[in-house]
Amino acid sequence: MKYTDNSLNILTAKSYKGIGNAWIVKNLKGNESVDTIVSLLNNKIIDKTTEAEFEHSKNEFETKLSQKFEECCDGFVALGDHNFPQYRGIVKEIEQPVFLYYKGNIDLLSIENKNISVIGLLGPEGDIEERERKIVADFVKNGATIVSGLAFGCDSISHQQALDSNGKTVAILPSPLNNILPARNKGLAFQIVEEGGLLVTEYGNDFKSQMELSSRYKERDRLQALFCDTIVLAASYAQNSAERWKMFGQKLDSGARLAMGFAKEYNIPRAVMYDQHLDENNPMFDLNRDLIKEQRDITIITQDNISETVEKLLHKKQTIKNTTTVQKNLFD
Amino acid sequence: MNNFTITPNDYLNKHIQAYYHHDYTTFGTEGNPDFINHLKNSFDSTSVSVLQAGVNELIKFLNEDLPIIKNLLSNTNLTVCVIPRAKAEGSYSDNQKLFKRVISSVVDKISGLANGTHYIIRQTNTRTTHMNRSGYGGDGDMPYVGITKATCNISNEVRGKDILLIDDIYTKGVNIDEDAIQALLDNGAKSVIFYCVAKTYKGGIKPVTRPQINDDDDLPF
Repeated sequence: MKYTDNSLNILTAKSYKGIGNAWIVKNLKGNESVDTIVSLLNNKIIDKTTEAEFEHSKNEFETKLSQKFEECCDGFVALGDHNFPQYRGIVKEIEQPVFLYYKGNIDLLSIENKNISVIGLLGPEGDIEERERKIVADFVKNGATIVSGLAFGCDSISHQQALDSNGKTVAILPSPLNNILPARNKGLAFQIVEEGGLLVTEYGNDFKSQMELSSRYKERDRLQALFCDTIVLAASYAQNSAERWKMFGQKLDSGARLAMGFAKEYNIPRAVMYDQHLDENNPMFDLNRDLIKEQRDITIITQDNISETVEKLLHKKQTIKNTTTVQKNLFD
Repeated sequence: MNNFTITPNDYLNKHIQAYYHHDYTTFGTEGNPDFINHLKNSFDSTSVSVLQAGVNELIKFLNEDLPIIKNLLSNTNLTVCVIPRAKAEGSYSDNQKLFKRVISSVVDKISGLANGTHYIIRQTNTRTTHMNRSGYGGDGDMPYVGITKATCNISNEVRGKDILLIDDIYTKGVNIDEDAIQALLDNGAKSVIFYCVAKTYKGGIKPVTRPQINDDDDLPF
């Protein structure tokens, strides 16, 4: 496994009671000495710690990590590592990522790379798959990396088409790398890595309750937004689709709604796949319609404008650059 | 269970994969596996109830850890041997040999592990290292290179076998375990891995309250 002393320090710091991601973002830039980290921790925690205790825990975590993830994880990165992916857009401290486990090529999430998230509902029907595939193929043709969440339906389609087009794709998981979710997509996950892609997750532990799993899905949805240059919604129901269309007894809402919401909040460009004459009576496009209503200048990808829209999206200058400076080399 | 590596030195000529369950900090402090000392029963004066509690603890950890080690080396048939006590076998009562007796009975019940707990038998007294400073080390030599071969009878049965060697406490620098591993290798053992119930924690008294990382599923991220 590849990792830096810095990432191991950040992991160890997080093990102290009362220390969360927000504290890490506020107090650490990365690459502080253990001495500094311990004194910062002691400003916050009630039971004071020592360098010796910190080092001891760090060693234990190192052993535990190598035992647990030997095969399934290529490494982990944390805030301050030169290859820790920078988020796009404006993200409040509490939602900024600080630590990622990965398998595959972590540089695919680099800010230099053009990443397009393509997401949507779990059970697309009709021609949604075919239309989504065309869009993904076009992004890949123009050099983009496709980001999604490995879920069934639209997520799987976007990963699969990226692979079919000989492109690179990144799956952001709600689960640890030793227990990939959904399990039925393990094969796809392995294929993504074999083809030079990336699996990435904030979690080293299995979820302990259904509640924890749903909050992980939500946190994962936020990463789909903050690690891409544009997020594209293939198709999705809206939160109230069941009422709107009197389709009771089904769970119609999807994580895509949350991801699109995060993108708005972070100021990440958004696009939707929508053809008025084809989709206006299809509940599977409720969210697309809602977003078009909500944001007048949202990019709409129709069957007729795919290639020019894709090109335009890829050449769009990032409106806001994340200004965190990262020292790439010791002598920069 | 945790793993560590025993590194080569004057006593031992190769790296040995090793496992331990507890940190041994200081006898009588919170979280320290004191039952190991109880089982040593150094003066043959420990009460039966304390010994029984120690036996139960030991059975629990062996039943937990030995199957894991066996599964980690799934294609290897392991034979379990035990580090002999410091003095000659005949000088201990049955209740001072509980560590070995318990291992023997646990190993017999785990399929895929062979019982080699009688392969190393001490014939000549050596100094009891952990009691030497307090004056109770008794007679015999302190550890020297080759002390195991010089003071123990090692069965020819070790030849060609993959050995899991067990001790109660491993302390780096004492070299009893290193010397015994080398003795097994020199007597033809195909490979040796090592397990101890506890490993001496070099930092002295170790804080046990925080950070909590005992649960296997308790990584901070």
